[in-house]
Amino acid sequence: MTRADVIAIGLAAAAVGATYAHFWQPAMAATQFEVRIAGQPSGRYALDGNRDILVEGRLGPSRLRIENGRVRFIASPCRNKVCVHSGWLSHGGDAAACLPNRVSISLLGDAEASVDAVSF
Amino acid sequence: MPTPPSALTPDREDRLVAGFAALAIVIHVLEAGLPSPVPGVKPGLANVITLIVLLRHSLRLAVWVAGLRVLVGSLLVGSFMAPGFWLSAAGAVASLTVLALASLWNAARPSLRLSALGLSVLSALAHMSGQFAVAYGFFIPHPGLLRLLPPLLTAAFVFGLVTGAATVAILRHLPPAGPQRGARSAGPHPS
Repeated sequence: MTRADVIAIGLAAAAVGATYAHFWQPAMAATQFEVRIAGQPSGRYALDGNRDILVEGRLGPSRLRIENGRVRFIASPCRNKVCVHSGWLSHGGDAAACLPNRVSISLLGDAEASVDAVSF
Repeated sequence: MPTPPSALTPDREDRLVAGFAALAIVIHVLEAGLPSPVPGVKPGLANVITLIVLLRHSLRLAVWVAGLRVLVGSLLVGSFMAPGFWLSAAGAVASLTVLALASLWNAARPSLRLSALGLSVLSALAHMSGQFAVAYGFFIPHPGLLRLLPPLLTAAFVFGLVTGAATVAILRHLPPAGPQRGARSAGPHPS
């Protein structure tokens, strides 16, 4: 191993470490979220302020709470409350749904791609 | 006895390219048979051949050998023109670019010369970065993919060290390169 090797490998290791620091930050925070009812987009809300939103689903109103840049279901007229147990959502790409009530929310980050993936 | 006239006579360099490319292709194909936990992660042992050709012969020959390996390797594996082929090609272009720059550096600064080990690590990282750029840019433009980059680069770094060490070991056992331009950069390096 030459001296240049030591320098190059050291720099390379530092660069790899830097990618961890850069790309493994907490996921990109979402800035807004979209509500869908029965698959149809019904509205977009900014993730700021603290407030509740009532969404009228098939069975009745689902209550969403926005707080500190996060959002969650806090009540829904369904049996198992899977949506409520999904808890707080704050990252782009996160989603929760109340299937019986046909209400779903998905969080949107700043980077929105037109396609998720291409497969062959 | 006069040799029959021929428009295409392979010279010594052509034979070298063919031989080394054949070796690299065999390694490439064998490696394609290894199961891999994540697509894109593999040892890259075929790069040993590229490095040996670069250090013992010339960058031009190394480009030929790597290009032929990617092309013929993909034909044999059946991935020609499939995404895997483009990833492979992008990786080869990126790593050869880095090797070209490193060769310029070695020529300009003989006192701070990179050996096969350093070259291997740099080219492995370039290879991974190149194929990741194509994967992210064309095939999977999803922000989630970026989270794979650090572990992929870590794998490339480790495998770069491994193939580099293998190259150093092999170079030590090879006889000095023949009277070839660029042979100066060959010989076994004190390490």
